Amino acid sequence: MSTTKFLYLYRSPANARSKPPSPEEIQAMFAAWTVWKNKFNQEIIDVGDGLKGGGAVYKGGVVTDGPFIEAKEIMGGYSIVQAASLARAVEIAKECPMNDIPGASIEIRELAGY
Amino acid sequence: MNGSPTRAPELPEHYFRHEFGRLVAVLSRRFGVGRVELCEDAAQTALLRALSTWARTGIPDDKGAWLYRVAHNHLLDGLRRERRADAAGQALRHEPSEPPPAGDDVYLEQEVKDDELRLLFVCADPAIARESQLVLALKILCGFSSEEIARRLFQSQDAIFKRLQRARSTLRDSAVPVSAPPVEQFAERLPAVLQMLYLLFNEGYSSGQPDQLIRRELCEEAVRLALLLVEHPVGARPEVDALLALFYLHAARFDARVDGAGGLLLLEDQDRSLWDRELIDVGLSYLQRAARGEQFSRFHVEAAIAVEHCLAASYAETRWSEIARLYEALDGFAPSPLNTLNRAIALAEWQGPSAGLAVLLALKPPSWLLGYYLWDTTLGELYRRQGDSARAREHLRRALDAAPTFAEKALIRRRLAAAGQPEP
Repeated sequence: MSTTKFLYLYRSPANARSKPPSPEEIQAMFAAWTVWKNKFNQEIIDVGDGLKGGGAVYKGGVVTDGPFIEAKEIMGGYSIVQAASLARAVEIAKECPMNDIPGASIEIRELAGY
Repeated sequence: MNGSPTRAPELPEHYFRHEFGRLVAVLSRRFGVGRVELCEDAAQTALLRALSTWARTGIPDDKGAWLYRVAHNHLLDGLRRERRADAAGQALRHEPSEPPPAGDDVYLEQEVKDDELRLLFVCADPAIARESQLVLALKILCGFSSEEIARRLFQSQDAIFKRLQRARSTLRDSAVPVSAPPVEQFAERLPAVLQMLYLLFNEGYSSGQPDQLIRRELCEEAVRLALLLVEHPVGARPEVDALLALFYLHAARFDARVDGAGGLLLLEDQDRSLWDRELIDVGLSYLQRAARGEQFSRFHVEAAIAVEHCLAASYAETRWSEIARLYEALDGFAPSPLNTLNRAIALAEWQGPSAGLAVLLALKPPSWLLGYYLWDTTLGELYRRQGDSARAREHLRRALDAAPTFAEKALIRRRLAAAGQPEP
């Protein structure tokens, strides 16, 4: 059975969360991510990380504040999953806690393995 | 719940919420309560860091110390940035010397408990309005967000936010020195702290809300903080024992107060077999401890009333004469027409509705009491028992208008039906 690595890119509307989550909400999120990670333990090889806001963009010799301040959607994090097929990777993504955020999306991309 | 075979490794229930309070308590001891908002930010940052890191690496064995290190470093970084900004601007202000780096010895359990207790006394600052003291404690010590507090206290988020901002600014100007004084130095604030915990418990207990669980958390927090208090020399006093007795004796009856559909049940309609005997026993043992020494407080009286109810085999077998006497005693400690109202109810059970009505009609009720649904509910019920259905219905209809929640309205509608008005 060949397995392929997939990168999950998490995006959510820039206004999805106007306030930081409360401690109780953080604990609920932690529980949800842990359940997801444990359920697909063999396949989620890196549960990944969140991305902070801000940063910089370097393009054509020019550095700008980044990434895209006026963007309606922000990239908020990533995971790396090793799955037998794209269909399987989609199945795993369907249960990801990221889906709890209204308007959030998961972009599933196969790593080329160059 | 969904039958999934995988379960998260358990963090204790409310771990992050309580840890938030512990972090703010320890940080504000080291950096000063004037910087409580920075301490809150640092605690929040540490929890968010834990969310992403622990999901990858698992929960560390020393999770409390782990969170503390992250929060402490974040706070130090923030202060350094602040200082650089200051230096770049005008003359460098005098800043208290930098606290030593966080070592492994700073997160000892007993010290943390002392810090939580100190912060509780800090919240009871007389310069902060009573209601705001409670809100502040719920935020910085219990780890609720302002949105969660608003939902539990039935206030707008905006009102909660303003209370918090004012309270924090009072703390900034407060006389509490950065070198945190021992808890004993706050001993004169003990009555205010007890009042705060009493209010906190009542907020959770007094109203039959559809969303019982979140109200119940307020009661649990009141008990948790009172237990912290009673274990410390500054709180090892009979009135604190009496307060805990009161909490447990009420908590024992929490589940029996609602019917299957979430409606409120009157004491007389409650299934007493649902009362939690274990909690009653805990309450009784605290009351026993409270009886040592000479001190006698309003909490003693209220706990004694609760004991009468808890130990009565049935509503009819309640020692109503004793309860009437206790409400009279309570009025000596905390005068309120509500004590008279309760005494009238006890008298009516003991000597008949006329005895209760006589007390109520002799009372000159303040206008707020006239607008209070229990005033009209009681009058209506006593008139009904006297056979005066017309007067009964008049009062019960007024009570129906004034009742604050659906559960209470439903209860009054049942009374109205009993007084001869058909249910809609």
